[in-house]
Amino acid sequence: MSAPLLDIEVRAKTFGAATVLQNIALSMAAGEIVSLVGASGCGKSTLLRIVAGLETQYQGRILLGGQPLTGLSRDVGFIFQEPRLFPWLTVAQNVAFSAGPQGAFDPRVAQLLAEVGLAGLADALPKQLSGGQAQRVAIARGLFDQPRLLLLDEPFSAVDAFTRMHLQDMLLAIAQRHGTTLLLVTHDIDEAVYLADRVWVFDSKPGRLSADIAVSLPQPRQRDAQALAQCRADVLHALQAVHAI
Amino acid sequence: MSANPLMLSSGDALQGSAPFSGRLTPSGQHAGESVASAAHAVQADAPPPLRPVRSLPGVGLIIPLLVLALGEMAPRLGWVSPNLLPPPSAVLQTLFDLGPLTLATHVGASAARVAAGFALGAALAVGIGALVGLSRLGERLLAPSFQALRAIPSLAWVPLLLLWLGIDEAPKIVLIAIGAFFPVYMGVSSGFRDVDRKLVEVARMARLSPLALARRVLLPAALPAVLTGLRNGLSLAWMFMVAAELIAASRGLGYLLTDGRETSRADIVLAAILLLALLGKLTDSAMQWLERRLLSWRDTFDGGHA
Repeated sequence: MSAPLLDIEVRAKTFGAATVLQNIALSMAAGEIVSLVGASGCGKSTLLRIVAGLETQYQGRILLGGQPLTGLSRDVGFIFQEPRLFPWLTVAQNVAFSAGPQGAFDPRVAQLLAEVGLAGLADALPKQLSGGQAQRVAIARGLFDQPRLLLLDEPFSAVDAFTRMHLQDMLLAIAQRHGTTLLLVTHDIDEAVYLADRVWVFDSKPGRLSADIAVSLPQPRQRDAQALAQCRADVLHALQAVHAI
Repeated sequence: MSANPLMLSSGDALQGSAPFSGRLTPSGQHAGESVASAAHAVQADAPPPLRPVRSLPGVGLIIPLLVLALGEMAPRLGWVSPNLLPPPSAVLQTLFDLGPLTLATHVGASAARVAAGFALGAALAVGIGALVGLSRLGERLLAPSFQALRAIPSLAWVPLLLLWLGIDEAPKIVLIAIGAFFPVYMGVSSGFRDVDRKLVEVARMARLSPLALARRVLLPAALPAVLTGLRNGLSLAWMFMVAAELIAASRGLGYLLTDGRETSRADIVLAAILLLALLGKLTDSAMQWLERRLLSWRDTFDGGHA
């Protein structure tokens, strides 16, 4: 295997007396999609925040393309559980937020909005959007800086099941087109196996890797495929083994 | 059928039941009206229907008009002495008699004091409120002192202001500034502190500099609270202007109030009150208009049905 895009080494991360993460050594290849699952409080969101550079107090190091990541980087994007749009900015201004007030005129904004299926809503305000539309804007914003790695923290947990499936397919198509590497925290086992090349199952207290399950099925996948159901069962058993369910 | 719709017998319950549709009893149903009663039964199961909000133009004028009519009648019918409560027409006549030049002098003097005092107080409040709201050190350093100062009723400063600054314009403007300061200070400092941490995190991911964070995220997010503070500060500025002018003034609406009392002219007092009401309403409407313009992005409850 070629040099990994992302190399995570977290020897320990503590909050006060509690050790949240311990002895984590993981890596991802460029273009890979990995789902991270585990019980609530197993530190998976904390790991995501460490990789993003939002959390800097930990023992270990993160390498992106062989270079140490010491803080926030243009190469790493983050999509939160909630859309977190700025309500006083239009959709276009939200997408191009990192480029400053003039960024909304960047031609990439219209292109990204078309990709997430929101062409024509550039001048709308967030209050005019549905929950699914707002999360699409958040995804467009996460991609605006063309990050090599996109981190997603339960990005579709707040939308209804049908919208979720649409957004999952949209995310896969966009990631493929842009060659973006995705690391996704989710509570949804179906989502984990449908999207990912690998599923990392985390044990808790302290959080650590318990199983690394490959989903060796080519994209695009059929949601009702037998092989996918087998992977789903594997993840389920791994979660049972760590008493997450 | 009863001719009086208010007299509900079981027989005419359906016809007269529009306001009572939720409480229809089986005794109100007749065989021949089964279709209609079925419709009512559906309504009875549903939650009470949401009444469409009618615009009802002029509904807010009912009470003022009643009060005006009563105020006009009471002195004319001899219920109260016209010296104590002059009828509205007499108050208007007084305004007319004072003449546009005199009125403009008094209104102009008062408005200028409010403008100067409010500008001074609000500018200081925005600066200090921003320091307290944006910096933890600023908060530790300044907030306790200003909390203590806020506890002092602002009018308690009057004797000191008179001692220090004389009875000219300076003490009036400073008193108005003190009155306007605290609502604005509270709005600004709490406005910054109430900004959603989640939005700040998005700004961090976009690698904003501290200055850009303040300008592009914290300021717009705090703007609703800041504008509310400014609006409250402005209405307090009017109030403290009257207090300052009641103490010592030779021009202004507060002077008109004092003058009316000293010459036992209730009509002049009421004329000054009317002018204060109009000016206060005018500036508050201007602030409201500004609020609506600047905060049109807000997704908030507007008093109608959600």
